[in-house]
Amino acid sequence: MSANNMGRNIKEGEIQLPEEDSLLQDCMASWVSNTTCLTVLNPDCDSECIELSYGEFESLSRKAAGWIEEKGVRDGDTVILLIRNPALLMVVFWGAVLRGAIPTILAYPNFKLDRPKYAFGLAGIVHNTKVQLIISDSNFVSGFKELIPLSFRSLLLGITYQDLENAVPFDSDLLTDPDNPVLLQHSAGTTGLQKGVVLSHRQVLRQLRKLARHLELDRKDLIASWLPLYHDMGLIACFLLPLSAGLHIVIQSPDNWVLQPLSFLEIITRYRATRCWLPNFAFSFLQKRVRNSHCDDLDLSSLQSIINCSEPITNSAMDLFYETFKAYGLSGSAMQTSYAMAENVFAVTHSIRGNSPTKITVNADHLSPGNKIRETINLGRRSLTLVSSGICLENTEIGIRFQNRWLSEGGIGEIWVRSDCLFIDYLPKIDSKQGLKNGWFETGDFGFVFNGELYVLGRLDDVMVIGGRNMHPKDVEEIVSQHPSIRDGRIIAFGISSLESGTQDLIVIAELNKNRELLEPEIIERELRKTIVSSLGIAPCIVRVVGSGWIVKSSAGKPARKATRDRFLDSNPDLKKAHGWTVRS
Amino acid sequence: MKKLERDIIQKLREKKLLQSDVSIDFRTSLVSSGLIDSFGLVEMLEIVEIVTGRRIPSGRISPQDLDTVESMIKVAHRWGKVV
Repeated sequence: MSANNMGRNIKEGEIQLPEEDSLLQDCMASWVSNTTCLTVLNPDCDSECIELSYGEFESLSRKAAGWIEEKGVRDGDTVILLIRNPALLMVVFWGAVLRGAIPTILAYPNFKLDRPKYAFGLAGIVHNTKVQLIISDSNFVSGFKELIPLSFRSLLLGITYQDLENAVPFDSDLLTDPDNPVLLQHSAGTTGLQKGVVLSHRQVLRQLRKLARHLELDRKDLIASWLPLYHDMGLIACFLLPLSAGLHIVIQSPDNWVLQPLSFLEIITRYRATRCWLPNFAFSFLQKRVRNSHCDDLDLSSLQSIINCSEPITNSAMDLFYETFKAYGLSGSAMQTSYAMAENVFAVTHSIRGNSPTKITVNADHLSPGNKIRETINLGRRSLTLVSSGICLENTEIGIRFQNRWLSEGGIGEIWVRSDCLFIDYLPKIDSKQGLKNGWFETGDFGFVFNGELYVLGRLDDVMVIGGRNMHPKDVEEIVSQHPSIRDGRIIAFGISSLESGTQDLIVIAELNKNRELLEPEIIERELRKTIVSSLGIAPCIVRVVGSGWIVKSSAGKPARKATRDRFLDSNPDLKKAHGWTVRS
Repeated sequence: MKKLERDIIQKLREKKLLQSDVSIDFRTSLVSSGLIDSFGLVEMLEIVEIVTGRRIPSGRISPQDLDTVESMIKVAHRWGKVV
C-alpha cells in the first residue's frame, strides 16, 4: 500500500510550504504580518484572550531567540520547554528554532502529579538528552528548583513576556543543514523514562507539505485546538502545520476544555473553524457531556475536517458524535480519521478526502495475526464494525508483516511504515530492534489493509492468546463499554497465563459510570460475562467492576494496560500465584 | 460543616460522582486523590453553580479549584455571579 501524488496542479488559494532543502523557519517568507496568527483563550485563568498577528509573533520569537542566545545556547543544543501559557510556549518554541537549538516540549506538571516523581522523570530526560537549558514559567522555577538534582539546577531558568520585551532580537541567518535535527518529540511514557524522537527540518517539512496537500489546506482555513503541545497531534497538526502555512490558530487550554467541553464547539462556531484534530475519547466525551439544551447557538457547518487520530478509533464514538451534532450543521464528510505517530513526524494515513471514513463489518473471530480479513454479513454479537484510518499520504508505504513475511492485502499482522519523513533516531538510543530495517519502521501496531485502506486494531504486544486463538483486548473493551453502567474508555482487558489450562485467561477490569443508576457490582459483572461470552465466544476468568479512578492512566491520560494489570495482580496475590504469573507482554 | 458544604457533598453523592460509602469532609482532596476523575469536573462545576446559585464565568477556574469542597465554595464566591 503506497501513495505518490506529486506533480499535480496547485489550486488557487492553496497554501504552499517551503520545498526540499529548506529549513523549517523558511516558511516565514510566506507570512503576512498583519494577519492573525494566534488567538489563545483564557491562557492562565486571569486574562480573557491573547491575540498575536504574524508580525507580532515573528517579532516576539526573534526576541526569544535572542534571549536564548544570551543564555549561552548554540546551534544544535537541546532546550526543554516547560511553559504553561500556550502563547508564550509557542513563541519560545519558535524562538528556539530560529536560534538553531532543538526544542522539546514536556508536559507541564498538574496539581495531581507527585512533585518528587515528576522531578525524577525530568532529571532522567535531562540526563539522556544532554540539555543545555530548561525554560519555564517563573512560578515553576521557584516551586521545582529544590526538587531538581544540583547538577542541573542551574540550567533551569524562568521566562516572562517582560524578559522578551527586554531581549535583543536574534536576526542572523542559520547555516544549518536541512538534515540536522529541528525538534525532539517525547513519547507520553506510561512507565519508565520517556524516549525522544529526533526529527530534522527536512522530515518535518515533508510531513507538513504532504498533510497540507492531502487536506487541500486553503489560506482561509482556521485551526481550533485544545490539545497540549507536548503531544504530536497538538504540536504538528495544530501548531506547526497552521503556523508554517500562515493560518489562524485558535487555542484553548486542555483544562478549560475538560471543565467546559461545550466551549470547544462554541469556539468552532464563533471563529468558523475549518479543521480540528481530536483523540477518539474526545468524540465520546463531547457527545456525552454536551447537553442539547445548551447547543442552540452551535453552528458546526464551517468544519471541513474533524479528524479522529492518535488512539484506536471506535465506530460507536464516531457514530454517536455525528448523530448528536449533525443537527448543528456537522457534515458527514467532515468526519475523518488518521493514523499517526511521532516517529513519522505525524500522519501516516488519512481518510479519503470528501468522504466519511470507510467501515467494514467483520467476524471478531477472524482478527488473529496471520488470518485474512473477510467482510461478512452481520453476525449479531460476533460481528464487529471497524473504521478505516484511510489511505497512505504521498511517499508513504504501509506493509503488513507476520512471522517474518510480508502479507498480501487483507492479511492481519504488524503494521510497518516506510516514508520520506521517518525519524532520525531515538534519544536515548535504544534497542536496535526499534530502529529502522531497510527503511521500514516496525510500529508494534496490529492491523490490516483492505481495499487500499488501513485498519488499525491496536497494539500487537497486547494481543492475548486464549485457547489457541488470538484476541485483542480492544475488542473485549469495546463490548464492555456498551454496558450502560460502565464508563466508556475506562476498561482494561488482559490475559494471564494459567498453569492449569496451559493457555491465557481473560481478565476484565471496568470502571463504573457514575451517571447511571447503579446496579449491584455483582449483577453488572454477571451481565458483562454473559455479553463477552455471547460476543466473542470466550468466557472471562475474572470480571471486576471497580470505582472511578482505579484504572491506572499514563501521563497522557490514557488507560495504561500493563500498569493496571500489575496493580490488579499485586492486589490479588492468590491469583498471581495460581496463574504462575507469566503474563505475555 | 456548613450547609453549603453539606449540600455539595450530598449532590456529589446523588450524582454518583462519589460512592456512598466513601467518607469525605470539606477539605478532602477529590480529584488529586483519585476519588473523582478529571472527566467528572464538568459535573462538579455544575453542582457548585447550582448549590451556590452563582454562575462561574468560563475560564475563571482551573481543575485545582474544584479539588476540595472548601475550594469550590471559595472560587464560587470569588468569581461567581449571582443568578
